[in-house]
Amino acid sequence: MGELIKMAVEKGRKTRPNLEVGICGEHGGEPSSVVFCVRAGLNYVSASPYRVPIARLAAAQAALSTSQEEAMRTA
Amino acid sequence: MTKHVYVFGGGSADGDGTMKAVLGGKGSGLAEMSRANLPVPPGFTISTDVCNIYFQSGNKVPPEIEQETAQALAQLEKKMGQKLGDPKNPLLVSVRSGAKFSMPGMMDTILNLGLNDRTVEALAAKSGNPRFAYDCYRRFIQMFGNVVLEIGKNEFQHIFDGRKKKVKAKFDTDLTAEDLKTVIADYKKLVEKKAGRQFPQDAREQLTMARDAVFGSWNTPRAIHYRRMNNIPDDLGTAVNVQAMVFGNLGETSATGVGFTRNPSTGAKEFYGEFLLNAQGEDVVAGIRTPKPISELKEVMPRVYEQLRGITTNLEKHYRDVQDFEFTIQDKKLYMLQTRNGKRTGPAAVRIAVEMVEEGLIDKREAVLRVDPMQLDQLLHPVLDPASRGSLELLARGLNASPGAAVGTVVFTADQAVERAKQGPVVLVRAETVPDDIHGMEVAAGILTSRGGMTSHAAVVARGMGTPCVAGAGAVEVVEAKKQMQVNLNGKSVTLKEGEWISLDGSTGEVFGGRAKTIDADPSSGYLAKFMAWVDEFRTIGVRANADIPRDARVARRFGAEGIGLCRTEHMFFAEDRIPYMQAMILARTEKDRRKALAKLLPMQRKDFAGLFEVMDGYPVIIRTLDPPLHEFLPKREELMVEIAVMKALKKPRKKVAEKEVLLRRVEELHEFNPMLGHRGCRLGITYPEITEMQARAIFEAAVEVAAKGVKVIPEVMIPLVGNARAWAS
Repeated sequence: MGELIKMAVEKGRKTRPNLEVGICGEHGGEPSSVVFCVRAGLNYVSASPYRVPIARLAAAQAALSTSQEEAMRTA
Repeated sequence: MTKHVYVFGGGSADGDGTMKAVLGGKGSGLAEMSRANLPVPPGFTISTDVCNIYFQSGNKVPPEIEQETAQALAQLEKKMGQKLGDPKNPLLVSVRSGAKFSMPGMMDTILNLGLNDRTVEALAAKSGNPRFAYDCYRRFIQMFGNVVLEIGKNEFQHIFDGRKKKVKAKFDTDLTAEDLKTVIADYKKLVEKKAGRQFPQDAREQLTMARDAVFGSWNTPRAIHYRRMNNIPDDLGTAVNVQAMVFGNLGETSATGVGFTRNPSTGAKEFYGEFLLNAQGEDVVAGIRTPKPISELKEVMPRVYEQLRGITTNLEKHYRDVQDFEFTIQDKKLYMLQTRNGKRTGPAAVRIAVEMVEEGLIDKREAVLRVDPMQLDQLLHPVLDPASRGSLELLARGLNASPGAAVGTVVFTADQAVERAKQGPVVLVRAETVPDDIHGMEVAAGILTSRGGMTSHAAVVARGMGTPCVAGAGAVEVVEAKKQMQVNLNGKSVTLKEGEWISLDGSTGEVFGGRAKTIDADPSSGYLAKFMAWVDEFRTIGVRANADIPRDARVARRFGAEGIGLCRTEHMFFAEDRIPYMQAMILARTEKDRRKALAKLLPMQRKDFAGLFEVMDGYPVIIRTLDPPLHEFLPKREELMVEIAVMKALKKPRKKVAEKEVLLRRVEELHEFNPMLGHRGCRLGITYPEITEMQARAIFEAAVEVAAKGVKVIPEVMIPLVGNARAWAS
């Protein structure tokens, strides 16, 4: 599934660079899926209302750990 | 030459905190604490390499490592001014395993090693407390016999309990030194019988045997299995930690205890923990004696209390996290035995992260990384007040199907729920819920079912609505006809009638009789609000919510959603007042009839969208056009067939029967082998463009209507299941 999402994002943006891509359903509020979505370059995740804060935190942590990994690669 | 044995204590250490692979978790922690000049009892760590060497050499330790160990022991004896096995001034040690990761199945702890028939006398004389000395000795024989000589714990316990019975002792502490001497003699006989050898009197032999037992425990079936399950390599090995014993049971000026630098439940910055005077570590956790709150230590030993506070405050600063510590006081002298980052609840995690940033201990970035996202769940739903939880009767346990607390009066039908909810909160109690109950579930503060699992109708719907739910509470018997429920509670039957109070904890699955107090979740203030603001500083991706009705959209906004990522329009058609029009539309044979039915649905749909747009002022709302296959809006085929048969048997009017038969024929026409990949999504719009037309009109009209009120509307439309460019063009 993840590979399909990556392919859709990559090929879609080849045709239209500013293509907006998001995910909805239970995956949008599941922390490890949110981490995946951040790395796959999605524009947004959509979670059930009570899961919104969980998705926000997971997204922030993914952004922080991704920037940390990049810093380590360039160091 | 590679170093194999690392000494620590007295303000210095060979190793340090980074050497987990070599010293194990415990050993590197002890080295780190010694370097930080903490009062750690001194000792040495035999490295994890030695464990591998031991197995490679056929379960033996080569002479040069034995030599290194002897040197480390000599240093330890010098630091303590005692000698292992010395009949006048004996050194006693603890022996513990310690791998890089903690692991079940590993040999845990041997205390008081070095005691024998002669050193025990010295300890008795030195402490002026023979009872204590013999108690240490009998504990040591028991532990050593169990973990090194592999004699069952219960065999020792049997002897011990026998003695207690014989002298009519109520507590362990009622046994005198003479009683304990008898126990020791019996223990030694047991060892001789079971192990085929005498209990070792040579303290150095005891140490060698304990060390080898630690290594041996690396390869117990349980430890091997655990490593397989968790992908831990077999050649990591375990270290062995040998540490001087300190005694918390040396009279009323000695004590032992555990604590946290902050409250692990609430996160409040308060010194938190408990202790026992005149006790060994295991007494605190064993629950035989009730420990005292640590604040009382201040009265008993004010100087030690202040020292402990100072040390733990420094520890927290050093590790920049809440510390969970163990300590022992020997004759008014404080020793720190262990410290590690403390486990905590969700609310505590958030509060601690926020306060540590305010104190300058960590930065925002670290604070955000410290809280487990799933732990936030505990802060988002109302929770039962712990105080009232304790005072109510626990009626039953079910599955924690949807988190949060719910308190209300019980009702047994959806209609009653709607009726009674006008006066106050209700809890809907059903054997199981069905789609027809939806109006009752919507108004209920909580839902309780006696059947069904985590994916039952009640559970799924409740989670979607954020309504607390306990599902499958088998002990609850719902008697709908009598408007009551019964619970068998320890043999007596408890009955709750409609209108009586009940309290649910959807986070734990507990059901309480009576009216509990709850504490509301408030994401807009306090620690959570502050924390979430920091979260958003680092976030790079948008977070929206799935919401179909304005109420859900409001919750989503409160929790910080930046728009609606999915509004499922079909949910709007399932409502009781709309499904007849939806069915009429599906049954229509001509476009004209379909349009007639759709015209009825248009204003309703427009109102739904207008509501969502208003709540999401300034944020996008993605509306998905009708997606599921049409048969989902019609009754099930089998149910219809039964219904028709019953109607015929009861000789109902022919016209009514004919209506049902038309419905049945349409259901059969719509039947597909795999409806999930069938006539649904945009394909419906291709065959029936007037459906899409109506929805588009509802969206646009609602947008215009709401925008006219000065609300910023950002409508977006999702066309489901587009497979290729031609489908999209249609």
